Amino acid sequence: MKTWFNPFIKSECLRTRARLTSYLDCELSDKEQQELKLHLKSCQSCCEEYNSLRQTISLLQHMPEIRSEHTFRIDEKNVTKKTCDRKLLILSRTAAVVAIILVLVCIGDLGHLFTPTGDSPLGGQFWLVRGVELGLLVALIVLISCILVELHRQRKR
Amino acid sequence: MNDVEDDKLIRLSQQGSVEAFNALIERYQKEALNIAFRMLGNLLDAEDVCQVSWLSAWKSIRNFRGGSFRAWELSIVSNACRDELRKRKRKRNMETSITDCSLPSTDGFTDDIVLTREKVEAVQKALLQLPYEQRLAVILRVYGDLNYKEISKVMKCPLGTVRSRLNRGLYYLRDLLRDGESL
Ligand SMILES: [Zn+2]
Repeated sequence: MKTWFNPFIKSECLRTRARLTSYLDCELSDKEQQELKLHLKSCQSCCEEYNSLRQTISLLQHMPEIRSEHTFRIDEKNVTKKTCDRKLLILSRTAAVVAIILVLVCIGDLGHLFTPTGDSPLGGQFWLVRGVELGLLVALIVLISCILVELHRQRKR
Repeated sequence: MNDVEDDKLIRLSQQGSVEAFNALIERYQKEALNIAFRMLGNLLDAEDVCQVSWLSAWKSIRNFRGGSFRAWELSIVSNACRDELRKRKRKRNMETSITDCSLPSTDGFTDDIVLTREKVEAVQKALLQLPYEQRLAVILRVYGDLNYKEISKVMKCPLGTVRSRLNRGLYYLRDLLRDGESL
């Protein structure tokens, strides 16, 4: 039987050609690499295919490198400015939240919401509310000074 | 920072060192630019894509969990290229064909030119005619020096898909180059 009538040989060639690139890149198992190597030795047309693919890759590899006139850099100023802006944003948002809570607590306090009727005005509740108010006030002052310091730093830069 | 290892530069970058990250850029920018150029066929677009990629790499450097930095960076570049191609597709009024490529004048190339300008143009045009996935696989293999496993990670597809994309891409490229008598 002549070889080109043999369907087995044809499918063998197809199988080989489907794996030629992997063979070229040595990305097949040792066994498969051996198989293909043997087939290429015995098959003229697959060998031609193989060589043409090798030439294509070689052509690609010989393409001149592109170079750019400008260098890419992450700009330190931009990046630090961004993180500073973020910091300021977080600080001012927190300060706003604290201020709102403080105002609400004060309004409640003035409206005697926290002093149940019949309780002595100097009881535990009284000091608790004053303590919370004082705490919130201190937090607000600290936050505002942080914002001022941050703003001052940015202006310096 | 030239002698410092990648790992150290990456660690410093993750701690917020812009200087260390710029040293990484310096190391990989040539490769990134060349890959973007091969994908897009236009130097200006490639430069834009690289700028965008480096910025997004800087923003997400904390998420880098070891492995090949090259592969990680190239996956960012390839995503940016895909976005750029999509943008073009939307914008294209059919004024330019897909295969339009603008090669930089000779001083945009490095000095070791072995091929004639016509041949370089023909190869670049042929590359641009490949379907996106095949083109990316071939380019990552040849110009990114990635192995199949790394390519499968970058392209988020199985190894077998990488094999077939590369194989089909290379055959297609060969046929295009043969038709144009460049091979
Ligand atoms: Zn054969």
